[in-house]
Amino acid sequence: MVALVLVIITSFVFTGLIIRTKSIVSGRKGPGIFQPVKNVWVLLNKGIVYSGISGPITRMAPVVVLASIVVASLMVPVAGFKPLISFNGDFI
Amino acid sequence: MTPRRKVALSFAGISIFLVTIVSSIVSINALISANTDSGSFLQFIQANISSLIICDKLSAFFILIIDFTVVSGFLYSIGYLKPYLKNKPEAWIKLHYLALVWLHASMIMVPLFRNGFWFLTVWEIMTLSSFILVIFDFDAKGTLKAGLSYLLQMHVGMIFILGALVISSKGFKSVSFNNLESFFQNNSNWPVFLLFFIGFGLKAGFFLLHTWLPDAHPAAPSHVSGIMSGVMIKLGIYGILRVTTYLVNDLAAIGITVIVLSAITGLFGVMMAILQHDIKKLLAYHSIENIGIIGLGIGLGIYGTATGNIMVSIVGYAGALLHTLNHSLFKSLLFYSAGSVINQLHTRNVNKMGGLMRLMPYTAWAFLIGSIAISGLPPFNGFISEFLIYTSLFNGIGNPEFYPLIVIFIAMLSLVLIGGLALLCFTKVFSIVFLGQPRTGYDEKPVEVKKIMILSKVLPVVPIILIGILPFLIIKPLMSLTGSIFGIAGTIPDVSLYEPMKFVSFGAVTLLLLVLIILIIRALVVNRNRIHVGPTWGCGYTAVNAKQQYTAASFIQEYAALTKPLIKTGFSNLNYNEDELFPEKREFHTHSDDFIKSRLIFKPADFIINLLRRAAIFQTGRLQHYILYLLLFLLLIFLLTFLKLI
Repeated sequence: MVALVLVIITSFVFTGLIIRTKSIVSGRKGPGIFQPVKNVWVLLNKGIVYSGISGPITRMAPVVVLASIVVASLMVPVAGFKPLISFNGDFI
Repeated sequence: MTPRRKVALSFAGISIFLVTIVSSIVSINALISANTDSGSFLQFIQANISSLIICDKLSAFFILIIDFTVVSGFLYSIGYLKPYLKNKPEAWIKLHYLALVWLHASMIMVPLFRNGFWFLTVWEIMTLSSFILVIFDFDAKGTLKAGLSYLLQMHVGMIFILGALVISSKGFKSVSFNNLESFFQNNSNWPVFLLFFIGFGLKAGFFLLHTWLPDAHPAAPSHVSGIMSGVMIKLGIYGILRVTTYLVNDLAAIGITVIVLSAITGLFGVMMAILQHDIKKLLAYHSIENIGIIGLGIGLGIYGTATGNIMVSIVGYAGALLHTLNHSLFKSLLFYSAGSVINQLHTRNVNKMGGLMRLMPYTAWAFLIGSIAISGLPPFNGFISEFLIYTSLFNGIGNPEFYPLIVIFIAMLSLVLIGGLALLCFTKVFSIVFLGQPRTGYDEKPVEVKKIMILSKVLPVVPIILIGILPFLIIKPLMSLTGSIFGIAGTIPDVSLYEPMKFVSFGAVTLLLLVLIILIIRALVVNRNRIHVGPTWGCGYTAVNAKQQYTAASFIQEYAALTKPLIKTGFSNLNYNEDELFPEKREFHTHSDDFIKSRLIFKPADFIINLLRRAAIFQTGRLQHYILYLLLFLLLIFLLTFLKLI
């Protein structure tokens, strides 16, 4: 459970943290650590253009990818905590 | 439909449903009852009809699979054969349905008989009736040839089974499978098992014995392909399993051989499947692949029994049984979906299809579910049985012997490879057939097929999803069933199998819920008014040609280049001449050959045909010549007798 919370929290700040650190190291100021989240929010408020020949698969695919990444993250042990899903042969 | 056809159809329907009900009652009775060979209903049949009928749990398992697939196949055939009713003679349609009823009845009977004579009789009826079903479209090119090749190879297989039965019944009153028990205890198991394996393997389609399969399935109408691939070839598996239950010695050697053969079968099947452009041929090669996976489970079961490792044996057998069930579900589903597409487009070439998801949405979803299931991905049923076989393989590594260890390790790698390649293959088929645009427009616009054809696809979808997301419910009964069939005593520790299954279910349910939640969130967040539909690459460059899409061949070009040393793929392409200012119209096509078929079947056959053609010079048609032959023959006999050679 701890791992899950950790994953959710870090996923919001981690990318921003990396970009910020890189900027500071290379002598720039860099964007704030929540910039990627803001970007996502801006993108979500934009319109969507689907191709005329795309089908429901195109619409479903990103959702399925996101969901399977979240489920996969449940299986990865983080920082020594036992993951939510763990059993013999779970690396299949 | 004329009234007489209706009579034929309802006759077939009623017979199939009656046989289904009776056999299902018998088999469910046998599955539930505690003893292996009983069940009150069965006892009634044995007392009143025939004492030869024996329904144990293995038979019951297979009978239930057969019933399910034949019923869905029959429902599908009602819709599928409609376009054929106009241009086929009425008697032929009736014969087709009669053969379907016979096929169903004989397939039920195969697991019920232990007596050699009756077993071979129903085995033969099964072959003949399925032959009639295969050659339904007999005026199409290649159908009769495929059918005859099937018929011939089945008879070769039957000779092997007959030989094995006769050898093992030496000294017994009757030829029967029951004799195997004492025969195997007193003799070496290895040679007779090999005979059985070849005989049943020809039905199942193991490597080197598979050559009828990729021709017969495309030639047959789709419901027949579904039934044949889904259950009839499984009766070959049934035969192997039946013999396996009697095995006593040589277990390790047999197990390892089966594992090796199955791994090769699986790899070969999927490697050939990727190269196919004919959608049904592709599915037929996938049947070979799945037979390989089932064989892996059986081999592991035998090997595990040899080493006394219960986690290997019982889980391996259970994986084989479950994969048998799963394959019958998703393969019939895939054949029905492919059949619906063929029914609308009248071609089997995937390059001529495209964009069908928008035109035939239900068929497309059915095919998608079947594809994910057959690729062994969660949350569908293919994953569960492959997971069992993986578990068995991992436990097999614990064995310290060196060579078996290597074999099991390679088997594991090949199973991984099979899964990955199957995924590649079905990505290719699905994207080319159902997504994008048709490369060359359709003559008449395809529409979604009739309701009854959709219903027959929903039938297998339900258990596919149920097994996929609720495996912990079926795993315990499956294990006890496997244990009682193969006489393996012992319990499996909770932590090694049942716990994982709960987590698998949990993961699958979480995945589905998350998809649902994210979809809802997206629907809430995204402004509906801002969703536009436009042409692909519509930024000032609108004329994308449908021919710029991937084709079936270009999608897998890299793969084809990699496998070139193993599988001969060729394409015909003319280079441009130097003086050719304006390129002329060109034809381009790619093809792949089954090298086993050309080496093992065609070359010897051509040799014999040539030999016989040479022998034909003796046949002159002149009486004098024939009298001369007679005289020479008598002279030869006389000389040989004189020299005391004969």
